[in-house]
Amino acid sequence: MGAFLAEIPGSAKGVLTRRSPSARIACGAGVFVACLASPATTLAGSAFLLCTTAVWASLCGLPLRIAVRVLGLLAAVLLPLILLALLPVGDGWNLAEALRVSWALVARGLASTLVAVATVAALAPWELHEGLEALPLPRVVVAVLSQVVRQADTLARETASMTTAIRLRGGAGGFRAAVVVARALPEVWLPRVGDRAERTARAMEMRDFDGGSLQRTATWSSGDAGLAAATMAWTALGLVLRFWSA
Amino acid sequence: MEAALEFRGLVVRYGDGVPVLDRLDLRIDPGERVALLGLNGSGKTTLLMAAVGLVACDGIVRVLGETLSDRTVGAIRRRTGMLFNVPEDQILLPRVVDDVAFGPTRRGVSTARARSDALATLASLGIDEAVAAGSVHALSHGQKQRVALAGALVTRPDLLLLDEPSAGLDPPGRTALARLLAGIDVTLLVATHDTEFARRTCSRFILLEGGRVAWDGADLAGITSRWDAGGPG
Repeated sequence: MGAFLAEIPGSAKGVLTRRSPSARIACGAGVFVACLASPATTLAGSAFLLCTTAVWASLCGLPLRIAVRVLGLLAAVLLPLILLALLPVGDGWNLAEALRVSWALVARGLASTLVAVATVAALAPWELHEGLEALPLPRVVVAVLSQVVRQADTLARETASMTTAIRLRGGAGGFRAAVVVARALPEVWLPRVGDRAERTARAMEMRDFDGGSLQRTATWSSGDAGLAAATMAWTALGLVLRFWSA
Repeated sequence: MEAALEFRGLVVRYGDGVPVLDRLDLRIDPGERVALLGLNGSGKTTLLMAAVGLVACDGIVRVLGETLSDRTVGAIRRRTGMLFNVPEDQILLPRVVDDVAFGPTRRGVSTARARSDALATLASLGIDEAVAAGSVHALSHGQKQRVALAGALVTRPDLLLLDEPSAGLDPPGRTALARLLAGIDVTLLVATHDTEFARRTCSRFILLEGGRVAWDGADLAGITSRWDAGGPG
């Protein structure tokens, strides 16, 4: 799982990767908002979600194997919500209404997560910091976001090596290794994460990582601006559909 | 002459416990190359961190002519290079060259110049351009050590604080690092267990014991003979 997550950043090679990292991040965030805002309970809303996700994933060039695996994981997490709708709750329970609400959650969850994954896949690991730096965000937000992603990546790799070490030392593999790791979490892994966080915070302080703002020189090309305009128009369409269906 | 680094009555304690450093006095003059030796837990790392305000302490700390305070800590850190004892902790960006170029960029150097300085510093530590363009996750421990050191050296600091710089380096790497440090004009304070490395890079040797300076002199044998005799320090 850790190895799978580590292979997502930078795996997409679509046309969108020609745009600047900051434009990709900003537009990815816009499309994500469009997914959350759009009504999934109407036919038009569902079509909008499907279209948004498919077009964005294609523009990013999200590899099919990653899309399939992410959809599989999301299905395992979100589809039980549909089953929950079948459970009668109270006197006013209405199956059609319950399914409508569940479907809205599932559809938005699937679409927005896939959009987020496609955006991450369209960014090489080193482009995230560069892209965030070029956006008009507070420096501390950029520093925290960059380090959350970088340290999460490091911890995913450490967890993978811990699992290997457990397998080598105790012969446990697969599910058994996962159970051993889970049991070791509070006593071994979490203190290690805490220590690392403290040491990294010191290094960030020393290297002025979250210091005052820099002169940002990044400028958007006409292609970046065009992509941003199209994203804004698309997000606006999602909002119109939302209010129209209300 | 103004000291490059001076501690007066330095006390550092973690929580309510016994002080790690207890009323420690130490002065290092500009251009001196000092090795800080001591057993595990003797306070070497804590002393380095106290010099740049990374741990809370009592007493006076003066660095490069400034008394360490909330007002001066930023300026002091900008003139000081530090290598932490776990290199991964201070590598904050995912691509090698970007991480090393980060320091100069923060000091207002243009991106192109910062990148070329970073590549030159990395090359001087034996990291070629192909490795520099890659991910930090692809590096061995020794390479990470050198990348972290490059990040500290690239800004040409006046004071260099190194915590176990030779740990994890192979013998040729240790030799190259000792040569490199010998060739730069900087005040150096090295916390290490590696007495051979200390002998090659430093001319003054300090032993920390019980939170204080237990030995201070130009003769490393004074410390190694204490260790060989099986004493605590």
